[in-house]
Amino acid sequence: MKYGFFPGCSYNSAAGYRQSVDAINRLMGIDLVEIPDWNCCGATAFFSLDEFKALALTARLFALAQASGFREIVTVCNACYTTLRKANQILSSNPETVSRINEELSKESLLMEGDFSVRHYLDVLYNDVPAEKWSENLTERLKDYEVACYYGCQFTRPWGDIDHMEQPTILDRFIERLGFLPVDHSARTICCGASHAISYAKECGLLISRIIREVRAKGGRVITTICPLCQFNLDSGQKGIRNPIPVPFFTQLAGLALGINASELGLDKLLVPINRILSRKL
Amino acid sequence: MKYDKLKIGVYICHCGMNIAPKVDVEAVVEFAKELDHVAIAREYKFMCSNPGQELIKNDIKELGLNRVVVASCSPRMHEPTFRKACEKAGINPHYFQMANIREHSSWVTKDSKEATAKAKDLVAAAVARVAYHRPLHSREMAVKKSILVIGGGIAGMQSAISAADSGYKVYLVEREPSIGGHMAKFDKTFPTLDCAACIMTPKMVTVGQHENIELLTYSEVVSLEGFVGNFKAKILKKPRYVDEDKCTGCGVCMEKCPIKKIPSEFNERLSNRTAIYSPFPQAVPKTPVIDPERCRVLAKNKRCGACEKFCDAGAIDFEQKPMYLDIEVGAVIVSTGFKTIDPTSLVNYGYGRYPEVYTSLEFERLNNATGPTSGKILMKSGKPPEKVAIIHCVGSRDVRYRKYCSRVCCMYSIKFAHLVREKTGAEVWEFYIDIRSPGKLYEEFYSRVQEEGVHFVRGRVAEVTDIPDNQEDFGRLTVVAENTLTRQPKRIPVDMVILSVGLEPADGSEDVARLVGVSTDGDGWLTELHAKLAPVATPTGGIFLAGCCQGPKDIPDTVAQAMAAAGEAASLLSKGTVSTRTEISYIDPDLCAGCQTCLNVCAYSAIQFDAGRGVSVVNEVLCQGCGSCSAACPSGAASVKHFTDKQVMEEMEAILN
Amino acid sequence: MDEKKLQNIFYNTSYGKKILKCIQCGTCSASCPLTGLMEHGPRELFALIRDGDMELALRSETPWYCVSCYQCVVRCPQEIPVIDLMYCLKRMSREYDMVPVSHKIPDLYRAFSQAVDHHGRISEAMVMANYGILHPVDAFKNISMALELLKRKRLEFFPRQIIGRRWVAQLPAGEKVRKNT
Ligand SMILES: Cc1cc2nc3c(=O)[nH]c(=O)nc-3n(C[C@H](O)[C@H](O)[C@H](O)COP(=O)(O)OP(=O)(O)OC[C@H]3O[C@@H](n4cnc5c(N)ncnc54)[C@H](O)[C@@H]3O)c2cc1C
Ligand code: SF4
Ligand code: SF4
Ligand code: SF4
Ligand code: SF4
Ligand code: SF4
Ligand code: SF4
Repeated sequence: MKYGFFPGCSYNSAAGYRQSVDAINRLMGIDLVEIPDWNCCGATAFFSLDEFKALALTARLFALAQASGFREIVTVCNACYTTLRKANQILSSNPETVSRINEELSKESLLMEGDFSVRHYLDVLYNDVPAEKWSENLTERLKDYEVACYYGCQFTRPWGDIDHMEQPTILDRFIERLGFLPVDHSARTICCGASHAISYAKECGLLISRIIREVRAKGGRVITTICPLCQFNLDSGQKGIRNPIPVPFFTQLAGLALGINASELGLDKLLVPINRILSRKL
Repeated sequence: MKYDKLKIGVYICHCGMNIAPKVDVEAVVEFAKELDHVAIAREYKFMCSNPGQELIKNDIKELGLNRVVVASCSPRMHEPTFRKACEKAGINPHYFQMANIREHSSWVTKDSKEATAKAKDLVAAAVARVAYHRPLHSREMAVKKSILVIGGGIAGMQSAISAADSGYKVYLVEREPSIGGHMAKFDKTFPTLDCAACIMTPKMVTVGQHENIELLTYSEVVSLEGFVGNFKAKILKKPRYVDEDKCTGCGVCMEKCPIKKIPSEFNERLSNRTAIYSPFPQAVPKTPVIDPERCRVLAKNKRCGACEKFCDAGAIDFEQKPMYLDIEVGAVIVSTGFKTIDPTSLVNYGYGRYPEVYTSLEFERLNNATGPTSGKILMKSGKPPEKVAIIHCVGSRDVRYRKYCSRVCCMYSIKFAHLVREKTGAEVWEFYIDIRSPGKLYEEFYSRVQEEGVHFVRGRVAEVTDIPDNQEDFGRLTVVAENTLTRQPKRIPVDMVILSVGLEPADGSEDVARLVGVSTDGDGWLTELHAKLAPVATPTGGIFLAGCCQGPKDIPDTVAQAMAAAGEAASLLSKGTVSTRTEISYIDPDLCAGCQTCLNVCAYSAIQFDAGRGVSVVNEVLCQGCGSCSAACPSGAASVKHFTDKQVMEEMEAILN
Repeated sequence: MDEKKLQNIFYNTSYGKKILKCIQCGTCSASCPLTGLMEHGPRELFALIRDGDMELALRSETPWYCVSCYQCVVRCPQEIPVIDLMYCLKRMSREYDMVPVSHKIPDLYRAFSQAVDHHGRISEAMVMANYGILHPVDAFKNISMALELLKRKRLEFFPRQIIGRRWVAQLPAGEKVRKNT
């Protein structure tokens, strides 16, 4: 299984995301080939400032992927995932814009043509890796551990292409496949305010505490996320909250289920420590 | 086959301002004058008006016209008008052709030049075609003096009673075990808060006892053939496993049946019924039915027969089989009603996820004296709610579900608000986009309920969530909306949420539409002949519509339409005869090879094979003129009159030139 | 520029005319996680635009609060692409010099785009530094967090520079508002 890979700017500094993804790739035989010389996708900032530039940035990524022979790009961040899908949609219906961008790209001897398939790493793990492959490798140690899945606001939107827009279950199903017990809760896709966390910290704090309260009320012992921005916001935003809930990446949980040890998964990098839970359960 | 001396008159209509300024009518007249065989071309403001028709008649008489073309609107409305004018002036009504330069040109073309050019093409085509028209004659046929009504809600019951009262035999077919439809589920009705049962039960009883009404419940129409005045219907009577003639309706069987935990459809699954059941105490007929999927004997072949043992009348009959009934009727009234939109897919409202979110129909049952709580408004916990939210426009006015306004939900929501206030004293928050209360005493009712202290908030609800804002509201539901009049976001904790779901066509109404040959609109409602001027008739002669099958409406409008449909049907039957169709198939015996291909394609079984002559023959009464045979016939023997190859080809060629 | 003209410009952008279908139901504003901060909310913005009150609409802080969560888009009963209209209003307010001065997000976006222009990629710290010059209080509040991250070896100041950064920096400023074609 080989994919073009767009890590995005927040991947490296995210708490053990890269470590856990690498560990899973090794075990499951997934080859994520980093798109060479990739640039920032521009996120929502560029769509807000200059659409041409926003589209050019993403087009360069597609062109780079195309040059390396990939028409499928895997992302690990909801913001990148949505930005790329959105750009792909606009570009594929605006040939004029594409040709103007290609003029620019030609300066770098690049060219982008046609439609690209943008995928999230969760989609790959759930849909491309056969279910048996997981069950073969599972260890029992975290069986029935209550996990609340947090999808973030952008993952399923705006098209509901990967899963239901307001009540997605793919991550719950994945976590269940790993032997965990997904808890039913109502905060799956409500926004955590990550992109305004610096400028409007107090107000975003409210959004975070709503999510934390809900998860706690429904019996979730950890919140797992699929996006470095959500993870950072929920992890760092619990300062001052009593008994904060750890926020591991889904890949870290998958790693634990596969028997990889915590430090190899970068679990020590979480701000809300997960050790207590691990030691009690292990 | 042309006349030696063709004389065609062409009339271009302005249709007031509908055609004229866009299409250069004068230019079209000048153009028409130059066409072959055109003796005269004129324009007029309204061709369908009396003076307009007089123009045609005079020209026929004075100039000896033998063909007429009118370029105006769609033939749907006025083709009969002009044909009649021709006939009155002494030429065969089929020597007429209509060109639609309104719907096909002026209304749909932006540019005036293009519109004029297109109008010219259409006129040229009509002139070319009319030259090849043949005279066609219809016959008068006696009509059957009986009426079939499909669907026994308030619409069907009212139609049946009105028609039966005027002396016609009525067959009322209802697929459920009892008549009554949705209205039977209500306790009170807006705006006057009449007790639904009090005004409805007498009608149900009348239907059950009327000497002219043959009530066929638990039955469905499986086929309908023939044409206006002479329909043949086949009706399937599903087995009840209870003999209607013997059963006295005592109800002992239902008490004794051991299978008691089946969710009751009539009570919206809020309570249970037995395997042998009658949907509700006032059901007509009273005869229960056995649910073959749940009965121990019928479904599992196990021993039971409790009902049989205790039935003194000996009415239980496990051997009953489906029965088919053939009837002949002169007219059909369709009144299959509606169903409510299933809100499960609007996940943000939490239906099916949160137990205290109800649909409006569920609430009607909760509030009904014969319902699961004997009319007490209670939560699943058995306690009355202290705070209730009512959400308007659920599934309606939403392009992703139903784009239209369902018309009755504003009013029934206001009714609910009143009932909750009256019965429980709970605080009521009602969230609406617009209050639609056009109707006699409707606005007055709204204003009365406002004064009762209901909080009306103008804003569509964004979500119902179980995430509370304050810890003390844990376990309740929070309704999130914007009060668009104050621009304040609202998060209101409540105990119970009622979803005012919209209306959509009843399950299977597309099948009924196909059966009776009536089209449906994009949303699935049956289409009337004319939205304003023929709201109960359909383009298919002898088929009429009543009630919600034609579109959402409240009970007063439903009843009015039901009476109108009965009146139309009765006036058709009272005339005694109808003319047969003229535009039907003809199989030329000289060309027919006897291959019988046509027999297989005819959906109306209108073709017989004459073995003696070795050719197929069309039955003029049954043929609907659909044209399937003419398309299928390999030897070109079958063709539909007035749509012969020659006529159609000439028409097309004139456009292409 | 007069409001009528601005209104026309808005209507002629890719999705501008879509607001004509808005039934003012308020689902968008109620769904919005930041509605409490917005003085208008999306619904009221569309009403302002339809009334021709373009000054109010373009100087509004509402679009700058939008975090692109799509909640409004997912629920709008008229399938109005609220989010794209928010982007459009932000770009228009920049083009016509009407960005609300008091709002912090324009500065954050600028900090973000500066970083991308220089390096082709961003690091949180870099964006923070660019932004912190303008809003030292926000930056200060995050110092302790930065230390925590440093402790866990999660703080990178300079993002890895990419070869394509010059290409990124030289990109022409496109027209900020995509026109209807
Ligand atoms: C919650 C709610 C509350 C309401 N409250 C009020 C109110 O207070 N006042 C008011 O004026 N209006 C009210 N209405 C509107 C009212 O329900 C309708 O106006 C009325 O029921 C329409 O009657 P109908 O006969 O056309 O349709 P229905 O009541 O739907 O009856 C149709 C009948 O046809 C039968 N049927 C369907 N398909 C077939 C088939 N293929 N073959 C045989 N039979 C078939 C059905 O079983 C049913 O018995 C309310 C509506 C709702 C949803
Ligand atoms: S079937 Fe027999 S027991 Fe049942 S209601 Fe009829 S008469 Fe009574
Ligand atoms: S035979 Fe069937 S319907 Fe009759 S009592 Fe038994 S289970 Fe009920
Ligand atoms: S009647 Fe009222 S509640 Fe029903 S769809 Fe129309 S506006 Fe909405
Ligand atoms: S036109 Fe032909 S196929 Fe159609 S109904 Fe008549 S005989 Fe049958
Ligand atoms: S949700 Fe859609 S229709 Fe409703 S106010 Fe917002 S934009 Fe308008
Ligand atoms: S996309 Fe923007 S406007 Fe819409 S709900 Fe999210 S933050 Fe609010």
